[in-house]
Order: sequence, then C-alpha cells, then structure tokens
Amino acid sequence: MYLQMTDLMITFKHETENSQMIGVAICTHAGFAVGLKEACEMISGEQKDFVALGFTFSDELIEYSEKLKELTKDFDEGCIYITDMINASPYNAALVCIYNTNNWVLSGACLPMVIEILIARSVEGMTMNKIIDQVKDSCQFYSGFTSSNDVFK
Amino acid sequence: MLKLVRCDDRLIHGQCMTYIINEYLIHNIIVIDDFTATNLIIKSIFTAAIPKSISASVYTLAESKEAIEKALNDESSTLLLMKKPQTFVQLREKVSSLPNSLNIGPQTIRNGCKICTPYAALNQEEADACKVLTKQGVRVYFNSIGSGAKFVEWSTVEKLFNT
Repeated sequence: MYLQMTDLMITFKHETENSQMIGVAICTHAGFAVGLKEACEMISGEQKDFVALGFTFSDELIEYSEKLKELTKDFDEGCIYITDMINASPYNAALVCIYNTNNWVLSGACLPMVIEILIARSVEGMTMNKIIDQVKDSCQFYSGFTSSNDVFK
Repeated sequence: MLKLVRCDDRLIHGQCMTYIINEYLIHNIIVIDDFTATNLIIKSIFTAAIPKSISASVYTLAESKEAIEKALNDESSTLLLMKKPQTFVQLREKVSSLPNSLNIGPQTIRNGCKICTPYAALNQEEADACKVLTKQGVRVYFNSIGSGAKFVEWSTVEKLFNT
C-alpha cells in the first residue's frame, strides 16, 4: 500500500506557538533529580514545564510536598511526577501532591523513561493516560544486560 | 512480637521499605502518630500504597494500646514506628512489657537541632526524652538501615545537649 508522506507526519507541540504541555516534575533523593534533569536536557535540549527537586536530610515530608506543589502550580495541563523509589519519601510527597487531581506518580526514574515522556507529551493530541500506557509498555526495555561473553566472542 | 521500635520522622519510606523490612523480616507495621492518623490523605498514602505482603496500620497515641498489645502477643513480626522519642516515653506509661530498646532513624535536620548522626538531628525536648528513656533502662541508639550501618549509642552523643 502506498502511504502519502503526510500520513507519516507527527506534529510536535513545540512547533506551534503558545501550546500547553503536560508538566513533568522529577522528585528523588538528594541530587539525583537535578542531575537527571540536566542529563535529559543534555539530550533533549532545554524543556519547558520541566522541574526537578531533590529531597534532603533537612526536608520534612509535608514541607517538601508543599515545595513540589508550588513548583508545579502553573502546569495547567496536569503534571507527571517522576520519583526514584516506590514508597520512599519523595514518592509519598508526590502522592500528597496528586490528591484530588488526575495527575500521576511514577517510580523507577531513569533517563530513557524521562526522555520518552518528554517526547510523548510534545506530540499533538497526546493525553496523560496515553503517555502513562506508553511508558508502562516500554519500561521493560530500558535496561540492558550484557556479559563480556555475549560481546567478545 | 515487636521486632523493632523505631523513631523516624518520615515514618514509612525508602530506608524502611528496603533495608529495615528485609533485615527484621517485618510483616506488620504499626505507626503511632496523631497527625498521620487523623489526616486521611497522609494516612492512606502510608497504608494503601505499600506492598500487599505487608500490613500497615496507623493509630493515634490514645488509640494505640490495643493494637500494640496484640502485636506483642502474636507471632507476626511487627515494626513499631513513631516520629519522636517523646512518643515512646508516653507509650511506656500506657503499655507494659514494651521492649527496652529504641532505634532512632532519620530525624529531619531543623533549626535549633544538634546533629547527632548525618541523618538524625534532635532538639532539646527530644534529647530530654532520650535521657528519660535511658534512666528507665532503655537502650537508645541511632541506626539508619540495620546491620549495614553503624550503631551509635545515645551515651556517645548525650554531651551535645544541656543536662
């Protein structure tokens, strides 16, 4: 079957002006959050509606969740909170933030996950639930396991 | 049985769920905290989001006696969690035969606190509670993740505080 070129074109939101995007907030232990954000921007370039906040020994759970809420309050299209470990303090704080919203908290933060979300959210017509489904599917492919026996035969 | 009594102002979190649960083979967590027990959002975060293999319940100090006594007498290994050492002082007045041992885990570094270990800082009131417990024959020690980390006895940090 012959496909026309226009069928293969996806419109990305950053090509259209003033488009709203789903926000992304990375919240993890210590400097991981800020480091992960920097790593993402090294690959994807500077991103809008993208914030990071590390949890430290001087943070109290509720105060930290208030800081997170403050950082994400302008994300009108909703926000995906990406945390490192399930049931850990940054995760618990993000749960406080999503109370009474349609937002999501993910754990298991890693570079391919965040980049996949950043790309997915910029596709025209993408919804929060579609992004989450897509990331759920690809989570198992993020890690590679390779032994020297496999490579250096 | 109560495997561990622990003060941790973040209650159920990463260290607890990875190291403590596995080292002490915990199946049951009892949290004693008035704020958490009476705030439905926070309470459901600590109880509903944890793995199904572990049960967790949250009580106010006033309502905790029955659950703790049940845990003391049954086979299930239980972790008793509270935020502050003062709570353990109050609990000992209500419940007899509690263990003579208190583990202090993460305590947020706040203004007016003395840093006892990298993860724990206590204010004067909390330190006073540790002193009271020590006088009652309770071993108070700082430890973050069980045998993988140092055990720091209260007696070695006591000098940081006023007598």
